Amino acid sequence: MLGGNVAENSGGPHTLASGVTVNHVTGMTVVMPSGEVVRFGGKAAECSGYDLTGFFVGSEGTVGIVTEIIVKLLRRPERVATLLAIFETIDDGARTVSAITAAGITPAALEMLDGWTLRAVEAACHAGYPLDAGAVLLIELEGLAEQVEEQAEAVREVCVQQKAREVRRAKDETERALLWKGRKNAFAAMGRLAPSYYSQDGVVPRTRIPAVLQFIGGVAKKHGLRIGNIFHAGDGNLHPLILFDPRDPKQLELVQQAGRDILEYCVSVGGSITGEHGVGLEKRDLMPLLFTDEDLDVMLSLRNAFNAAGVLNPGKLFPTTRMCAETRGSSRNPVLAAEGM
Amino acid sequence: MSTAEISLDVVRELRAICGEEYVGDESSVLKGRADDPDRKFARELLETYKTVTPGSAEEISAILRLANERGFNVRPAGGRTKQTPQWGGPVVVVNTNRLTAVEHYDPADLTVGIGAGMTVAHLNAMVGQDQLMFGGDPPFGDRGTVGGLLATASHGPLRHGYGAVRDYCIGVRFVTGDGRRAKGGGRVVKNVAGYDLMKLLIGSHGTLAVITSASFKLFPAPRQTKTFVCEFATWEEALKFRDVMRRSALAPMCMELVSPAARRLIRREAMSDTWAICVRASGSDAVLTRYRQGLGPAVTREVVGEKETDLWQGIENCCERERMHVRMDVIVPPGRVACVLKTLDDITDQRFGYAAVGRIGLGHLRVFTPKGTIGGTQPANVFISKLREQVKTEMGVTVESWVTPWPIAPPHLASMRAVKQALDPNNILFGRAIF
Amino acid sequence: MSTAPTATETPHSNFSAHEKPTWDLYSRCVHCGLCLDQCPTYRVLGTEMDSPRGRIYQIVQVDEGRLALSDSFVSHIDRCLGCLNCQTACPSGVAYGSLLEQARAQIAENYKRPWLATNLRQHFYRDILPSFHALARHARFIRFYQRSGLQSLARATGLLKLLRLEELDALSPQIESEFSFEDLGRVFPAEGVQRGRVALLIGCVASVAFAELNRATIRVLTKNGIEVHIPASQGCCGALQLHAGHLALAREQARRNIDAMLRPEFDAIVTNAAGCGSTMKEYAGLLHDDPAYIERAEQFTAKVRDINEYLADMGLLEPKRSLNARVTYQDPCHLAHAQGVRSAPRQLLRHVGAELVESPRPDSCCGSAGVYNVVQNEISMKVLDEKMSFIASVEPQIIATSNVGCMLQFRAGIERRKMNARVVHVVELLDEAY
Repeated sequence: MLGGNVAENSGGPHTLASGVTVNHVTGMTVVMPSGEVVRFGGKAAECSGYDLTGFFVGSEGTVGIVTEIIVKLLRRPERVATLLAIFETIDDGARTVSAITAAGITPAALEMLDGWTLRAVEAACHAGYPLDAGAVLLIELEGLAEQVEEQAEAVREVCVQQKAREVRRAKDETERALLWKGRKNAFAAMGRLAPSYYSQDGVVPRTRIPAVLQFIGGVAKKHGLRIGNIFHAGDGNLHPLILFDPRDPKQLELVQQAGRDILEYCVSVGGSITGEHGVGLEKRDLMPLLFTDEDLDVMLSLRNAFNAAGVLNPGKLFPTTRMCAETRGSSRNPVLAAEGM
Repeated sequence: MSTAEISLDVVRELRAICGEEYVGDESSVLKGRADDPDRKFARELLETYKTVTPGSAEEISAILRLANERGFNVRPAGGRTKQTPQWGGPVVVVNTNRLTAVEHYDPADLTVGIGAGMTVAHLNAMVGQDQLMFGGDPPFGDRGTVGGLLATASHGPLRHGYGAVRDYCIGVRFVTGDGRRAKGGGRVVKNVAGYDLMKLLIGSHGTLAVITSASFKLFPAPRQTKTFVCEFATWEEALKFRDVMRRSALAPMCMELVSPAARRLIRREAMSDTWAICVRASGSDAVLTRYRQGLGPAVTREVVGEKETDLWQGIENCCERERMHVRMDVIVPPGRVACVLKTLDDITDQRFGYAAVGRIGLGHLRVFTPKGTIGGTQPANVFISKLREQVKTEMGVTVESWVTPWPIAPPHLASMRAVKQALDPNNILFGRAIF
Repeated sequence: MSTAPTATETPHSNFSAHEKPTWDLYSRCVHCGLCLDQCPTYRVLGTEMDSPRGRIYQIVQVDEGRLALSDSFVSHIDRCLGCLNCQTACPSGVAYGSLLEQARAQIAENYKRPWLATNLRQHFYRDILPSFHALARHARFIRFYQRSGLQSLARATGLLKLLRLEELDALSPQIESEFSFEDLGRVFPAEGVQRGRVALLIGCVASVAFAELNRATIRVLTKNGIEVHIPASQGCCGALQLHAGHLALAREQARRNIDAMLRPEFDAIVTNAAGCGSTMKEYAGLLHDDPAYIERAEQFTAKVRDINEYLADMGLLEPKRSLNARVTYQDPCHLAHAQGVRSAPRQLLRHVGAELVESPRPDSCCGSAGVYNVVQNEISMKVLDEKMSFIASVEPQIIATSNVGCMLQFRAGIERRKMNARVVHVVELLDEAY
């Protein structure tokens, strides 16, 4: 639902070139906690005054309820090329991501699935994913026909240089749709492997993708869990899928610990605790990994400017204990320390 | 404090915070500048301001806390390239020129974080060495700071292809009006942790916080570019061409409308009275040929190399050539640009001639009226009220040298006040005129 | 890693122990929600409880004792069409059809419906459907009503509207002059070279209301070189009973049909009704606890073929006439989702010269769903209206499908929309071509 997208400032695979929700919303109608109905923005690309449209997108329903939005529409591209690059190891695939960016190419989408995940996907969708690969990159290029062909060639070269076993290209819309169906169904395909999965959402700079994937492998071993990786490699937004059986309380605990370990690592290399799924209740106590007390204080003042009574989504976004000494910023977080906080 | 001057007491405290050599008068800062504000009385007012040049966010925080205690106003300033409303009362100008540290820079990740006092030109030069490009090309980039770019949401022709600064700013560090140091976002291109404070601060004209540093995503610098100059007798024809372009598959970096008067500002020797649309495209030879074909017979010239760079710098900075009296940015839904131009034509006379450039694909126009217009700001007033009648839809109008940058009161004033109250409850930062 | 506790015995389950939805089946659902947009009732009603994910969750809640097996639960399960669109869409492979059958069986066993409804249903499923004699008797009565002028009178005077039977009336089929029962026991020889031999299921309601369709089926088969047997002791396939949760009655029918139609000389057991074919393919599952029948049930199931499947496999001979009409094929849910047969009917239509146009969502349920259009008439009509808008968008001359229930529903649909199109079974078009 679009409302959910607006509240979370959703992304998805094509944000790499096209941006996230907030880049496309130019106006909205909001019901404030007081009951008042307000309009921000409009059809113009910009309106006078503070960019409250921008502020409300991604505010997770804590400052107002968005009932209507005005969005920009994009023209469909002239040509789309969808490539599937197949690698023997996850590492090869991971390094290719930065190599593509370093070559000056910005794909429309750049997704990665590890071998394990794609086997589950293939069983579910028969999309043509290779069962014996270590990892695949699903790369989409859009734009003028001439440009797309050039980029496709360039991407192919980069992949081959990075030891891709094969680079396939979808020959028509049907094949393309099938590849994407596989990607979109991937999370749920995990249901074939375990009764439940915990879908995590973290971000790292793209140059740290190989390292974070290795780290995740380590976490899986340490806690004795199975973790599949599928993510928006092009913007460093990872989704480790941690499988478990929800009837076992021990596993539940391990899974949450694993999730925390991964997010702490993300932050330690300059990343974030959430790329698109939001903070909500799940990650509110991890906010101090990124933000100092004062940061949170400022955000809270803004929330209270609209929602002082806590009528909307109480308890979300902000940690339950803001003043807890052990979670105060700089001693724990090298990034904050570097910024002198 | 009721006097218009900053007391010696306060000056002493400022010296204690920043160091003696960093506390002075705004007049001495302005003396060194080539472009003086052209209103004498404004200059006299500015000369009563004290200026401090802090070296860190901590110092700025201390200054703001002092301001809240002692009741003086604070005004952030960088390159002083945008003419801002002047107002009286005790004012301390916080100069950001020392905040130029590079906080993080990862060329392979295409991200950078720098102090708010760094100029846009310097940033571009820095990342250019790694074949990267910053998406912002505001006027006066050699003097305008990144902080100023954010505060004024300024933009140049590149906005067409690369978006507004709100689209590529991924993090911001700042000090609120009441002295709290805080941040929003981070250093990665995808991030929804916490509120999107970048959006609030961008375009807030220094009324909510003093921006101390910011992070951006960068773009690969195009390997080669070419500019196609297309000419038209009237703006109606130019807009028709634009509409065709917008429906086509071509996606140029820049698509800039240049009015005849603006053309004369760029090249004084230009005698023609034609309107131009300058289209800048990037890509391989094959791609550029495709653009040439797609643009068709309207193309009168192709420009590359140094001449191309000069041309675009000329467009970005043409309002600098003569002392412009009033500079307005108008953004309307693209289909309403005709309304804007018609309104301008209606009120044009000898006294109020205008020049305009604009990111025409977005519905943007930057309109300026030359110096010497009798009657001061009257014509701009008339223009804006007529425009409101004609356009009849939400639009953005920002005016420099105005009482408030937003002559059309935003409809969500109450919400804006709520935000202002949250970040600057004592109205230390520049808020008197708006609120 | 610690072992998971076994939870096959959920101590507080509100289901009765025998044949209930189990953890193994419902744990497959990982809550992804990709089924929601595929579910016609979710699209029409907009609430989570009336989506597949929501229904599964309610089943889980009942099994865990957190929800009573009462009105709320029953109403949401009743509203399910059983179309299995969700099952096709599910990446995790949830066997939603099985879960639904079990839930319905549990409801049939444990939930008290109003006396009249319960008894009418029992009477219909137990006494009328399985007996061709009873069916014929009731059908003759309805035929009299339809042909004597009573029906026209009832319609004209607004009596139907008064009794709120207007829509039901619109849905009811025209009872035919001859019933297929007369063909029981007959053998129809192949024309020309004989390529195969099949047993044909004539169906229950189909025999009285679509007897002509059955004849057309026989014609198409024989003209294509297939010898057709109508085994005399066959009966209703048990689909309606099964979908209503009356497992015992369904099993009875299964045994009866296996006895009647499983013969080594038949290459296939053919039906022209998607719903029947789907249920007959489930006989092995239905009788897996019956040692006397299990082996034969598996053999039976292996031989069941939908008419489209069978003809496409055998390959049609050259048609005598070409169709030359704009046809849109609407997949019956029990052919596309339950049996996975989609390309065969389209292949056949193209072979006889139809100009095939694909509508949006051709495999989305029309709302017929057995007797759903009777017992959940309001929702059924909403679903039908949505479906008709998809069909109308391609402006067909002919709406072709492969199930009698769907045909009745579409006929009501074109009436409602005042649409100028003909509703036919694929076999009828084939019949025209040969």
